[in-house]
Amino acid sequence: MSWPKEYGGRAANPFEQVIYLSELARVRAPETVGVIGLNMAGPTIIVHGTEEQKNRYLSKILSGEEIWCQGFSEPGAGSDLAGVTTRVIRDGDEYVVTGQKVWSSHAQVADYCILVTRSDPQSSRHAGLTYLIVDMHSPGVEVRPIVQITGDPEFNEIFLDEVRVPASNILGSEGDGWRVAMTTLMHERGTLGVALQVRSQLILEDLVKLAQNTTVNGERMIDRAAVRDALAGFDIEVEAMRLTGYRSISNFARTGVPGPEGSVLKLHWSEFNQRLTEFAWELLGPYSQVDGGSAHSIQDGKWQYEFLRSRGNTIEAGTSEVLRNIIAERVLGLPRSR
Amino acid sequence: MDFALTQDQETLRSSVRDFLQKECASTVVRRACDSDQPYDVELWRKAADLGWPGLCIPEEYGGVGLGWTETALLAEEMGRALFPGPYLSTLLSATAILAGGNEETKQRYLPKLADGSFIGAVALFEGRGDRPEDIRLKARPSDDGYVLDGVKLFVTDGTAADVIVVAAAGENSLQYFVVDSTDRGVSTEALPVVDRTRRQAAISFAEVQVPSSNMLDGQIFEFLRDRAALFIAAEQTGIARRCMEMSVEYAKTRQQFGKPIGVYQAVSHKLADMYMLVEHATSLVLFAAWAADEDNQTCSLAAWRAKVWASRAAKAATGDGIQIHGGIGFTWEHDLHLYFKRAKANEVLISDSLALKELIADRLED
Repeated sequence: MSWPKEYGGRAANPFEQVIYLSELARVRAPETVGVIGLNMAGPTIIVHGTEEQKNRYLSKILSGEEIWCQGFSEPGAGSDLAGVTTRVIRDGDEYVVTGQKVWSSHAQVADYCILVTRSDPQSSRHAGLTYLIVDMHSPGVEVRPIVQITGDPEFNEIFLDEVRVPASNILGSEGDGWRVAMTTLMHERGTLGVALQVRSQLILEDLVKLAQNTTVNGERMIDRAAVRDALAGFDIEVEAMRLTGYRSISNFARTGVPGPEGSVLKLHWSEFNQRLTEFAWELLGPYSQVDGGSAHSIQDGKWQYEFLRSRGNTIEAGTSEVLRNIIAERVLGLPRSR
Repeated sequence: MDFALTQDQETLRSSVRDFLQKECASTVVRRACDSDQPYDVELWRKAADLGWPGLCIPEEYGGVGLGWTETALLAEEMGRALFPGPYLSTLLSATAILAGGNEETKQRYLPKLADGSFIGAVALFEGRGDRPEDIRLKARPSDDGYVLDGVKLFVTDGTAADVIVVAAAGENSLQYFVVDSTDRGVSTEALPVVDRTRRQAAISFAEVQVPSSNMLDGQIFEFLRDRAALFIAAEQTGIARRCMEMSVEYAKTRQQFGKPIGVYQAVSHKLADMYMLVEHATSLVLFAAWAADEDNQTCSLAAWRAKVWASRAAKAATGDGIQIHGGIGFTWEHDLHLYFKRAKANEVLISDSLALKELIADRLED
């Protein structure tokens, strides 16, 4: 939708993108498996890629023929991406990569990975990083699923053991990986906030129904003052996110630069989603303990999954702590804490 | 769908801010707080010269004829500056007369409210209850009109008012009357309120005679409550943003343990949370004001949401603002307590957050 026409996109303006994403969310469409390619790898290739790379990769991201994953985080480099230690050594017209990546969605089915590596062993922090496109079918790539708190294996670890990558697969230049990675991360939060807001709206609608349908001694939970007060509070927050999202899009459409609202919305949404789904457990009382698969389950364990999954929201795509630092330092201009 | 202010609106905002920075500095606000007079007459005259009291009164009645978006902008700036004048009360009385007055009443009162020569007030509440059914003040038909009997509480700027719009329980329904404060039987007593930047009064109506022509048409209680909610939400947003800015500035300059305190995340993360609260308040107010001008169906709900959230933002920004400032923030000398008190008073003014959330919950079930 948002990609330029010359690369097969529709050059949709921010308002059109928002309408598209909102409607997808509204019909509860599952997230596409091509999300990393479409929202992160593709836009990064458009900005930093060679003509050859654009011709090779972009159309197959759009058609869904090739799935992408992201190799940024490492066991020792989570929020602190500049702590990356995955080694890359130039060997003729190839790079040889050795290291370990973690929290990679869709890696088990991915064809390609956008990988941040350290090319200069003497370097530290932001300097000396190199950004590569790695074929996930190469020898030496091993993917192991990580089972998370919900019991689902949504993420993976990627082990790279002397994986050989053609030198032409570099994005940007050697040592310039940090700048390229920032392009990727800028697109990660972009217009995502709007889709998240619609998801919250739907969860709130489901919660209202749950509160109407849950009765204790004939009294509907929704008739309790504490429940009404909480639901009304949630309603205000969902609306606030919607409107701040619109302001953010209007701002983006006018200036062409994503404002700080993306960080604000992601921070708020992630913490809000935890409170929202936890409230379902409060409504369910003892039934909150029962997972799906029993005649006594409520909605086949939907709320058990949602609540547990929400614990990851404040960690993935920028922890709440990092986002508060971003707002404090880049928006409010407070002195850096590091 | 461009969800932002127009160039004209931005210009209005900056001219209002410039005026208030010059004419409504902290010294002026404090002088008004300490004064025996119910408001700062000099400041009011200057604001009236700029057309503020008539900002959203139509031109045919002597006003400027702008809308609620401009009014909300003005309110936000007044919150920032803690404007110590009877603006909200005058606005609400004009809004009531415009909505329900006959032509004669409109011609008699609106031009004077618009040019600031009359101060208006609305007398709605009598105690803890803030619903129409809580109104007990009696309106009894008489030979040449109606007789009002009862006591009103929490009348904003009631001691300053020349004109009072009174809600009364009639035979079958609520009725609304325009009463002159000099009418026989009207007596006003100032309430010693915590927020000295906005005065309140108890007004008794002892067998007050009102001509039938001063009765307002229609059920305007909800209308007034919701427009008041919008205005106060905008004020709260201005208060919140100003106190956030003061706290950010302080966190950048105040040194402890050899560093500016904004380095410490216990401080900076509070400010980040404040920013989120204030940004959302701005969004909710902007939408509610737009709805008030364009679409009355959604305006009420939008105004309730805006008032509850902006009050939360204002309480956080003033309360955490005091905390970030430390000892100096707790003193009489520092302005933060003035903002803190106004934020708390605003939260319960006209309709409080608990009551508004109850209204919102009703809508959720629709």
